[in-house]
Amino acid sequence: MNVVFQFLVVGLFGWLLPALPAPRRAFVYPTSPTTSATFSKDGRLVLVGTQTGQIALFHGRTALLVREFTGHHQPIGDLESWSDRDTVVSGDAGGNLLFWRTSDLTVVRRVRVTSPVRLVRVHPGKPQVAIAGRRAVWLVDMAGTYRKLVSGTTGADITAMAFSPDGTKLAVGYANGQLLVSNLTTGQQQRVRQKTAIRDLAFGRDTLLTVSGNPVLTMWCHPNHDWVLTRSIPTPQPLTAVALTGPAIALGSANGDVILLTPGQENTRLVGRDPEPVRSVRRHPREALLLTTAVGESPKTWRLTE
Amino acid sequence: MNVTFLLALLLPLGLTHAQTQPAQEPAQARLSIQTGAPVLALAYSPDGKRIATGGQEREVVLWNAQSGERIMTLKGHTDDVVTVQFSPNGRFLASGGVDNALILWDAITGDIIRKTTDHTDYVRDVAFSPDSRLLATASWDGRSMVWETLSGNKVATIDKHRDNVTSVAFNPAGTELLTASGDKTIRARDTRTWEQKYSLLGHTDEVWDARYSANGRYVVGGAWDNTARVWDVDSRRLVHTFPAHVSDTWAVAFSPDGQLIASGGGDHKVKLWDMATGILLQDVSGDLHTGEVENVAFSPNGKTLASVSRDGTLRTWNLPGANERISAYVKQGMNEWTKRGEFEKSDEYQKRQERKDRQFGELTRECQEKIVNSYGSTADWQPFTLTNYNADSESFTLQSRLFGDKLRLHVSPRDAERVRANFGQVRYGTPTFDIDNDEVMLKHVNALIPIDGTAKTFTIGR
Repeated sequence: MNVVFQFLVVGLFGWLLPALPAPRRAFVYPTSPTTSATFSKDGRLVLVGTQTGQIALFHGRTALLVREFTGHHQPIGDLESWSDRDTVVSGDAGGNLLFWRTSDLTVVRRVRVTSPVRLVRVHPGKPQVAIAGRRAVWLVDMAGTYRKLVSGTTGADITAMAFSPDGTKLAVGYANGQLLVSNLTTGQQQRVRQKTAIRDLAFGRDTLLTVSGNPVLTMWCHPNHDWVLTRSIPTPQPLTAVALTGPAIALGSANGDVILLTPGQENTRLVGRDPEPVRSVRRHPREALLLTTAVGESPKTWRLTE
Repeated sequence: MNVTFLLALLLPLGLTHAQTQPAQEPAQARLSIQTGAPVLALAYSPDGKRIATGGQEREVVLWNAQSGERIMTLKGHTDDVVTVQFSPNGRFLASGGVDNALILWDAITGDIIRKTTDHTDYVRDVAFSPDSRLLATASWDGRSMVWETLSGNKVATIDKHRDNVTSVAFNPAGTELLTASGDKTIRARDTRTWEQKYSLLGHTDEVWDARYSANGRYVVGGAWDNTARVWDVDSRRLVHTFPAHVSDTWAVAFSPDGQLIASGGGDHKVKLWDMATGILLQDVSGDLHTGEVENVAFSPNGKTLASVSRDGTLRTWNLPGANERISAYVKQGMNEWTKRGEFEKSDEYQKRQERKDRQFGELTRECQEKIVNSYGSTADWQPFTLTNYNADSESFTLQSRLFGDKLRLHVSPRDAERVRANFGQVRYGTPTFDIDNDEVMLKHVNALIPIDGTAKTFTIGR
């Protein structure tokens, strides 16, 4: 009797529980695990890099696989859309950086760096891209010329990188918790350090947000000249990815939750749940959608609106 | 305790499952063709003998609907083909694609008659007017365009949706053009002025497909809110909300008699819904489709349903007849009658059996009534053509798309010639229907035909 009662009560409770958010789309590439994903500049496509080097181009709204780019032959480290509508920059584990067009899959430019490409970030205003290898960062332009911006002096691996919205600064996060902000106009570099490895970072207009695998979002400001830690916001889950989505902050967590946090408001909102730790979160350029990648999972989009 | 916990977790799932369980087993597939690439577009020819498909092979392919033999491959698109339609007169075929192109083909020779690239984004849907004179498109550029089929002159550009236009359809009278959109609305326009007549609201996410019933009285929409919704066009009233799929509804279609609605979904399923009873009649595809079902279409004779999927297949399915619809309704309505182990001659057992038999009979009658009572409002039952006059039985044989040649118009020999001459002016009374040999048939209707200046009443029956 007791068992039956428990069965009914818990069953009824389960019945009344709100349903978990379902992904808007899952971008399933059947033949190889995926490593990274991004939206095309106009948001129509979702570009998914894979372990075998192919880049799958999915129609973003329908998740229909429309093309495959086969210019790389090593695992894709990262990829981002160029500032025009059509060009994509992708880097692989062999240090190859390719600029190519999504419309006809033509390679426009090839650049080779001396390290596996881990992160690719396109400058928000200039025809320039920042490439992070294991410990160094290069700035590469469309003509293929590049210069080393950061060398491996910290002795730790690079784990995160982001341009400021106005393109004047580039922040680089390291596995030893170090944060390096380069002023691209003056050439000055500032370093701060937190105790734990930086997992991801994102620039606000005047702030820098970092996550480190702990249940806390760290906010840095530079009121005068130096970057100082201004706020630590506790979160329900250990955080692994961060992105700005207008006034709110999208966060990926170690348990797979995708959370929306609005500074100044107490509650966070769950917008998605992956079964594995979230590796990256990206905002759709036009629609209220997030794109997430998670370890061993197909990239997914999630609705920001309830 | 672990078992209890597991059971408790599964209980709500089980309840949900039970509520959406179809009453019938998956249908038998007639054709199953693996094309080698995701198939996105699908249409039956007006005579039902050919099926056109399009997809990621960037071709339009014509198939023999009976044998599955590939008849013709039409090349002209430079990217995925997402929509294809035959003109009602069977002469033309129109296709639209990701290359922003609308191509008008000769449906017999496969030649390109015209290629239009006026749209700036992909052409998601095409539709011919019932007289085949106009051709309309829906595009992701947020516009719908209408052309004269033969001349290629553009007669209208409609850009009133606030998002991409996903679907387009003419009503059977050719007086309305229906467009569906990512802005969650379905809108109907007057085909004389192209002004909006009304909008159908209710979907809570992007509408991906919208179709009229064959008599134009209903509209069904399929949307990314996972539902298929049916509106009464005259009252704009929402009459059914079918929880069609556990993922997006990609495609919807009315059967030619308007009694069934087919839906295809992101959950890889093709499902069949009963307009008369409002129930899920059948999970048509079971587990046979392994990718999103992109399109569904009924054969013009209403005997077969076709579906295409991202799994690369074109499949056709047998459709349930009236008896299967009734047994599905009864099965869903019957209480669980299980043997409790009583001795079969006990009073209690006999009473339970009687109650069971009574409920079975009541549900059967109830469903029969629902079917025959709704038929007149869903089916375009009126188009008849007079064929032979039989002086012995004093009747004309009537030919009908829905009823074949099974109906007679009873006319005395002295009126026969004048009835033949004036049959084009016939008006009908209120019809009655019944179920005969697994099909809904017209039982009786009065036909008012002008004879010597006055309307004379004749009867149509079997």
